[in-house]
Amino acid sequence: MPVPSVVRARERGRLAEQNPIVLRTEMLTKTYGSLVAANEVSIEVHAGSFTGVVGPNGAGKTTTLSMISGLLRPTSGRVSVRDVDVWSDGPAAKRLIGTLPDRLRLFDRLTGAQLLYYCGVLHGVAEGVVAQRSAELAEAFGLESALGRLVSDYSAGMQKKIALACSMIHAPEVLVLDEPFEAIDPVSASNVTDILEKFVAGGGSVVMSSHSLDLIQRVCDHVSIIVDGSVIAQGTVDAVRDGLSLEERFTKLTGMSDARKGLEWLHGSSDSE
Amino acid sequence: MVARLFRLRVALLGGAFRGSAAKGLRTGLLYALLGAAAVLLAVAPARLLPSGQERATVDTIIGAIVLGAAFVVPFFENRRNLEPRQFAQFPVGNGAIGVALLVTSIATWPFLLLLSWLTALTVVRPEWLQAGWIAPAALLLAALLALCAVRVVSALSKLLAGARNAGTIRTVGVVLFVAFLPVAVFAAATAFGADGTAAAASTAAAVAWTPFGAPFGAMALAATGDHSGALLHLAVVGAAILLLLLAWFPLVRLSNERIDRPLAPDTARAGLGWFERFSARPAQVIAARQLTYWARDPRYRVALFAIPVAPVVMLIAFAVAGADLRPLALVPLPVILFLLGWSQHNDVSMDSTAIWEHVASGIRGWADRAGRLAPVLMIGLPLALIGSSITVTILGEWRVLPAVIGMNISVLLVACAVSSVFSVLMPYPATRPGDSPFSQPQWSGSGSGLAQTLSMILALLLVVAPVWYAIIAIVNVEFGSNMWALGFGIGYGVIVLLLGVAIGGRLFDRSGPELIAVTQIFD
Repeated sequence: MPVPSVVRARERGRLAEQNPIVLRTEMLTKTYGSLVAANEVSIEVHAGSFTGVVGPNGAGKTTTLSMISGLLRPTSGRVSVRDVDVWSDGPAAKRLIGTLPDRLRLFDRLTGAQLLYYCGVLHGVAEGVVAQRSAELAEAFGLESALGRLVSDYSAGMQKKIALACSMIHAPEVLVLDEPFEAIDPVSASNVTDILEKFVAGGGSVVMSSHSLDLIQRVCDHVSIIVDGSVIAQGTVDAVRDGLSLEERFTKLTGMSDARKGLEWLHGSSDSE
Repeated sequence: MVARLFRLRVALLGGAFRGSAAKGLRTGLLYALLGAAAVLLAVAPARLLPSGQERATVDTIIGAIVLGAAFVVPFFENRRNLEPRQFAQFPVGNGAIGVALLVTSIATWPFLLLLSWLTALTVVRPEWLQAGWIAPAALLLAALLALCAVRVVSALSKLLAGARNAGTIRTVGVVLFVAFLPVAVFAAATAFGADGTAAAASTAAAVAWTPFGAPFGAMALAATGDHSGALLHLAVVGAAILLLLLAWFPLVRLSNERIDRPLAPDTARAGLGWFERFSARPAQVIAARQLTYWARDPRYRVALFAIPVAPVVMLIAFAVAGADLRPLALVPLPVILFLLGWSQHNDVSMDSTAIWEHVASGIRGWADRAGRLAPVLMIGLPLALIGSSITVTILGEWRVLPAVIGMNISVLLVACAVSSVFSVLMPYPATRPGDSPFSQPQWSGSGSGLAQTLSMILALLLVVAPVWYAIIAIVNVEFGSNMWALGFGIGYGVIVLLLGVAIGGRLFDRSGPELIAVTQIFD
């Protein structure tokens, strides 16, 4: 009987805590005028851990992840990967990071094969290695038959998968994935989970955001809960959920249950009465 | 080694006729035609012109062109040439290979054609032979020069370009040939025209001091009795041959002792379109992607079609105003090249789809800037060369060609330089990739007018200097000022372009995240 991923995740959480920290954000803040999108976010990610970042819509997950991967300049604070500062030594740090941003488009007028090659070369991977890795990534993600087509003709899920493949082609140490499972069908999702778990088992680290608490609880070993730009809880999944399910704990922490009032007019009664 | 290689050469001579009967017939006919042309090249001047100064002029120019071609053509086209490396595996020293290749080159079709031309010359120019041993010596030296030049230049080309870039080099050769064909035809036409004789004579006198014209200059001088002058010319050829020989043996050693990077990794980019033609480095792959996008995106094509409209409108305006149309021939090309370069001043937002990939991968800004210029330069540079040659033909003054080329290239490079700074400095909304080229961007705000105006003004200011020198050279047709306009135009253009790429790259390095933010607003 295969061990379910949730059991592996719990075990991994205990082990990963002993590992050195690869990714560290210190007091990361981003303000847009008076709006604070991220407020002194400090996250630590251990080598070989699978960290989930959860929070309600507009909580600052994408903002935080973009600042980690070097795509959005923080107002203040530091991000470092293996002690390389992302914002003062970008090129060196970006070799160690693989990024999947949410909502940003790919170079979708290239074919899948061209896009993989392009990403590999931009990240400084040697040509022969790119060839081998493209082939293996395409096979792992089930994209072999689509490599010759334009990425713009891919379905949303396939685009997500090719983007994931691109983020991995330079064998990064940390993967920063924003909503990696959005638009991916359940079979592919478990396939992607397998790939990510193997990556983590090999000593890499994944930071991913998701709306799905269920998924986070199932595959992640660490979790950070962000609400209104601030981290309100973080640690191993077991420590954060504290005996409850992650969803119950999340509702409790965010006080979302209180927000259920109002909208009575919507509930069954008709105005025409 | 010489004997063995000679047998191979002879077999290769015959090999051209092997295959089917039709192919043999075709090849035979081709070589018969070429042979006839070679003989005609020697006979025609003798039939058309009286013996004396004029015929000597024509002979010198034709001879210089033939020997010059033997020097230049192998650099671009050397597919069928044997090369030292093919014999590196045999137990023979590099020196023996070098000597054998050089000596046995006499058993090749091009050399046989050259030989038939030279033989025909000795037959139909009895006046040369009257001057004693100078003429045979000069013809022998001419043949030797051609032999050495072909070997050295084709080895050099193979060493520099390698098998990988052979196709590119051939393409460059074809472009250059097409570019200078109109000027050559035009120059020939003026030389045979009413007052072309003096110009042709002065050209021949200058050419006679180059190694390519020197053997023929020597024979012409000897025929008039000036033996010491003839010897001096022969010394020029002899020195050139010596130099080529001195280069040949080190080249053989170099090409036999150096190993190219194996071609196997090519499989990574095999079948990837433009990516196949560029090496696997950031600036090059960005160039390849840019070319792919130009081919697949209608927005770029519309811009390309729109650009030639502006100079046409300008010309019509001038014509209506009653200006003399001939000097106006100079106007359209620089305007087109300027607009072509300048059209890239908003490239970051034209091509905003995934600029985050460039930022997230941590490439250097200059690589992004330089790569993006590839399509414009690949269209612009051949256009500048071919167009300049057509311009001077229409203008009716081929001697200003250097100045016109210098001006056009500098205009193109300067406009590219300004674009490469402004597209990171002041991006403004453009039609989104994939949208109709005629639709308006969804986002409105300040910036578009300002960026366009500023970049246009800056580019115009920067092109003043090279255009000024070019105009001086065009108005006062002098060789010196023309060469200066050419050299200054290209040098200035290259320096400004490098500066533009460096500054643009620096800005890109510093403001990558801000560029993502700005282009995201447009999306």
